[in-house]
Amino acid sequence: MITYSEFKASIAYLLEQDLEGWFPNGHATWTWCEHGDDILVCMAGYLKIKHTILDSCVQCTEYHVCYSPIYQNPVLYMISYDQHGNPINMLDDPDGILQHAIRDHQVTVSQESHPSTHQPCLYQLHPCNTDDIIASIVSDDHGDTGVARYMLAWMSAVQCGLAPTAAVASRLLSE
Amino acid sequence: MIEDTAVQAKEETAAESLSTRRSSSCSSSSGSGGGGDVELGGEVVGWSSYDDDAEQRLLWETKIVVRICLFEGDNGSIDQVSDVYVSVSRHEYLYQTVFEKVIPLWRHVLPSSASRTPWLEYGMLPLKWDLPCGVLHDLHCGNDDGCSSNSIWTVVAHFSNFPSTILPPFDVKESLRNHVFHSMKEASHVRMGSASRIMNMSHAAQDALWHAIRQGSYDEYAKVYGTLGFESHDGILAAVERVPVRIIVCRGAALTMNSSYEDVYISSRSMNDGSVKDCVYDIARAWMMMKKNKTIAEKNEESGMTGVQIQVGGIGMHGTEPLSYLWRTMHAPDGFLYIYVH
Repeated sequence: MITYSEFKASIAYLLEQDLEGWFPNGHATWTWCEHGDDILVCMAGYLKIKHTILDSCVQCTEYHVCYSPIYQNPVLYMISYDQHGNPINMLDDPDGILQHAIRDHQVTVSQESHPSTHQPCLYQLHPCNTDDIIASIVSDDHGDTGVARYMLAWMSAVQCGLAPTAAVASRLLSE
Repeated sequence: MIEDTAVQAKEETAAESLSTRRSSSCSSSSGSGGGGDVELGGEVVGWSSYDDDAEQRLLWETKIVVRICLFEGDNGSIDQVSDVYVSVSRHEYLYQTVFEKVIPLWRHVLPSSASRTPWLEYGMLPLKWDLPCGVLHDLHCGNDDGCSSNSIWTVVAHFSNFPSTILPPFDVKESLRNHVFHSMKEASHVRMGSASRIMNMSHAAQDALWHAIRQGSYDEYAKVYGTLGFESHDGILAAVERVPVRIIVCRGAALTMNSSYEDVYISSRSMNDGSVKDCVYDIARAWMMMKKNKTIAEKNEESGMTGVQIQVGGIGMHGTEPLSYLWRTMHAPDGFLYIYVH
C-alpha cells in the first residue's frame, strides 16, 4: 500500500524520465491531471496516458492510473476509441488486451465511472491483488528509491498493455 | 405489490420507528461491543450486540413505497399502461426491483424496439443504478413534499435513450450483482486488510447472499453474512477500527429539477473510528468550498458549516454518534456505511 502523496510523488518521478519507446508501437502522451487543490476532496489526481496506434482499427487507448483510497493502491481505468473517436467495447475483442488479461492472468474487469471525472464508461481492473503482485517485485521500501520505482513496478505488473518495453525498463532501472 | 391502487404508506417513518424502539430499550449499561451510552439523533441510548441485530433488522424492514410509471414514449400499445406500486426496502436496489417485478407486467406493451435495459428518472435526472433505494430516496427527495418518507415516491421508467454520458452501462443480469460484490470486497479490505473472505466465497454462498439482497430479506442475509467471519463466533463483536464509508455530499437539501450530478460528491473512504461529524465534516466542507470556488485563504476564514445536516439510513444525526456504532447497526448489504451530508 502507498499513500496518495507517495502515489503522486512516484508518478512525478516517472514523468521526469525519458519515456520514449515505452510502448512497442504507436506513440503516447503522458499527462498528470488534477481537479481542485484540496487533498481531502482531491485524492483525485490521476495519470492519463494516451496511446495512439496508427494503421489499426483501434486508434487510441487511454489508460487512467487513479488512486484508490480504499485499497491505498493505484487502480487502472481504460477506454479505447475507434478512428471516429467513438468508445468501443473492449470486451468484444477476443484478442484484445482486456480479454487477454482476463483469460491469461485472471484479472477482474468491470465498467465503472471514473472516480475523478465521473465519465461513466471506463473499464476498471480490480485492484484487490495489487499488494501481493507488487510485493513480489519490490521490497517494502517507502524510502525515496522505493516510492520512485513503485509506479514502474506497478505498470510492469498490471497486465493490460501498460508494461514498458524491455529497453525502457532497463534504462529506467539503471538510473 | 399492488397495481394501480391506492397504497397506505407506512405510517411510522424510519426515524420514528427507530427512535421509538430505542426509547423502549434504553439502557445505561455497556453492551458486549464495549463502550457505553451513545447519543443517536439527540437521544441517549445504550448499545449492545443484541441491539445491533435489532437495529439492522429494522432498517432492512423499513420500506419506501415507489410508484413506477412507464415513460409515455416507450408505450408501444394504444392502451394506457397501469402504474405499478412497489414496496422497497431501503437496502434493496430499485433497478433490480423494477427488472424483476415491474417489467414482467409491462412486457406486452413495450415495443419490440425497446431496450430491455431500463433506466429510471426522477425530476429529470437519471437515478444511479448502483445506489441502494434508501440512499437514492434521501438524495433525490430530501425535503421534497412530493416524495417525503410519508408519501409515495413516483419515478419514471424508460426503455430507450439510455443516458450513457451520465450512467455507467447497466446489464440487468450482471451489473448490480458485480457491483455489490465488488463493494463487499472493498469493505472487507477496509475492515480486515484483505478481500479474501469475499473472494473465497463459494458460488452457492454468493448466490444466497445476492438472493437475500434482491428479496430484501434480513434473515437470509444475516445467515450468510455471519459465516464470513467479520464478527467472532462467541458473540463478541470484532473491534471496528477502520470503517468503510461512502460519503455523499449534496449542495442543497436534495437534488432538484434544476440540479445535476455536478451538485453531488460521492466518495468511498476508509475512515478511522470517531464521531460521525469529525469524520465527514472536513471532507464535506472542503468539497463545498471547492464548489464555491473559494480560495484556500477564504476556506480557512470560513468558521464552519452551519445548517449542514448528516443523515444515515434516512435518520438525522446529532454528529456525536461513533462511526463504528453506526456501521455495525446501519451498514448497507454491500458492507459500506452510507453517510449523506447536505
